[in-house]
Amino acid sequence: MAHLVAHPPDADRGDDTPHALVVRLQRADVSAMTLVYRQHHVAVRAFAQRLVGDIEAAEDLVQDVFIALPTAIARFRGDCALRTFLVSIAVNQAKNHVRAAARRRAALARLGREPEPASPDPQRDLERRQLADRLMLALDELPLEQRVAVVLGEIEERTSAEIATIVGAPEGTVRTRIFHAKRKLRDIMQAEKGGER
Amino acid sequence: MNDDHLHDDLDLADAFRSVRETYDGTNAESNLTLQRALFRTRTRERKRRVARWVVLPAAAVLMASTAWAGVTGRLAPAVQSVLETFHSERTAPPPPVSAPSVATRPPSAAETATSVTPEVPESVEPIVAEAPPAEAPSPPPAPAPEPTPSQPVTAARPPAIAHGSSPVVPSHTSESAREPTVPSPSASAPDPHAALFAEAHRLHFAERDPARALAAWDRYLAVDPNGRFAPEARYNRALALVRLGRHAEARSELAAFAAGTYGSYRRDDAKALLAALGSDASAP
Repeated sequence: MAHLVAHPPDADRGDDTPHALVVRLQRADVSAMTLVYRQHHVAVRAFAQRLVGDIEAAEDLVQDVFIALPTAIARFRGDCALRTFLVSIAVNQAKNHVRAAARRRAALARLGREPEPASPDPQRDLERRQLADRLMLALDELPLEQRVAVVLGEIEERTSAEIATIVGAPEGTVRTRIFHAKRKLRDIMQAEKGGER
Repeated sequence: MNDDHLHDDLDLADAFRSVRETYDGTNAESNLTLQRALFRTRTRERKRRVARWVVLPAAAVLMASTAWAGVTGRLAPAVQSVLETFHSERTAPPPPVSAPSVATRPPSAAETATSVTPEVPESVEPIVAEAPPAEAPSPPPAPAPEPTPSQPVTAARPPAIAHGSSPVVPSHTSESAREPTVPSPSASAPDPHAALFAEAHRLHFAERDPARALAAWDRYLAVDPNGRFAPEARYNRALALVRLGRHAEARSELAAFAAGTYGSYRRDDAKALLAALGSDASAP
């Protein structure tokens, strides 16, 4: 539950987005951008990493989010937390990054290379990473909408209402996407397990 | 079967948890990402500012001036002059290296003094705008036959000149060597008084009737004293006066050109004509 400590969903609703900050962001004010980055970069990066499944591609996505912020902030009406708005920018910018990361992951899987674990508990870290990698390979099989929905709902444990705000779709649609995504993931991972046996 | 499904759900939940724990949003290079984002944003903002304060105003000024020129009828002559400039640059043959052109040779004192066949310049090319004539481009001059002292006076020449009573008039400036051409107002912006100009031009250069041409020039200048072709009309009117022997009036018209009232347009020709008229002591 480390992610909840770092950026609990309820804390999003407590974000203060004064009009002055929005105006400064629209002008690409450096201090305003730095302030917003310092406050929200961990949450945005966590979502990017979980969605893309690749550290470098996630970093590029975070960069794109904050580059797009001065332009995108014009759409911000204050009806959601600024952090939620930043995640919605990440969703809009994610397509190419997800595709690039999936290609890279497929190439690594073909070559059989595994990233080196760097942890005090190498065995546990390796198992956890392997499981995460399996899930990422399975996520690569999903359409982007379902992938976003399952990352936000099942990995980030956000509510359907919040996901609906981020992706701009009705809550029912979000729940349907999550349902179909989980079913596909289950099938994919089961097939993998059957193949291993 | 239900146990398998439950087991799969637990596996999936474990997988979600492992992703959540593996990717916690930390990165040692987060400051570098911020620096890159700020740099890219600053670069983009700088470009946007340049576009907003330099490119857009320049485009607006260009559009406004073009619209103004279009409304005031100065666009077509300007475009025409630009096209003519480019066309002349592309199609102009290399200048001959031998035998300097007579058309561009300055008048020599001997030629002026002998004054065998004085000739009033035949053609005046209409300028295309009211702007200083020095800026108005003109097509390259056509080669002119070299006047010789023994050349007889042609029948088409006006009587006043043909009978040798007119003063010495240089005939070897480049512009005076051109063939007479009727201005074609349709080639540039439409001029409501172009018909009057064309009629005067016809009487002057085609029919070579200085008296009727003078009246026609006066008609044109009466209705359009500041028109696009007014300077040419005034100069042609002065030529008609010379041909009619009304040298005092011709001098007063030519003096304006010689004084640079119309810029460099016909200034040298007018000076030469005035000098020739001045040498004629018997002029009225």
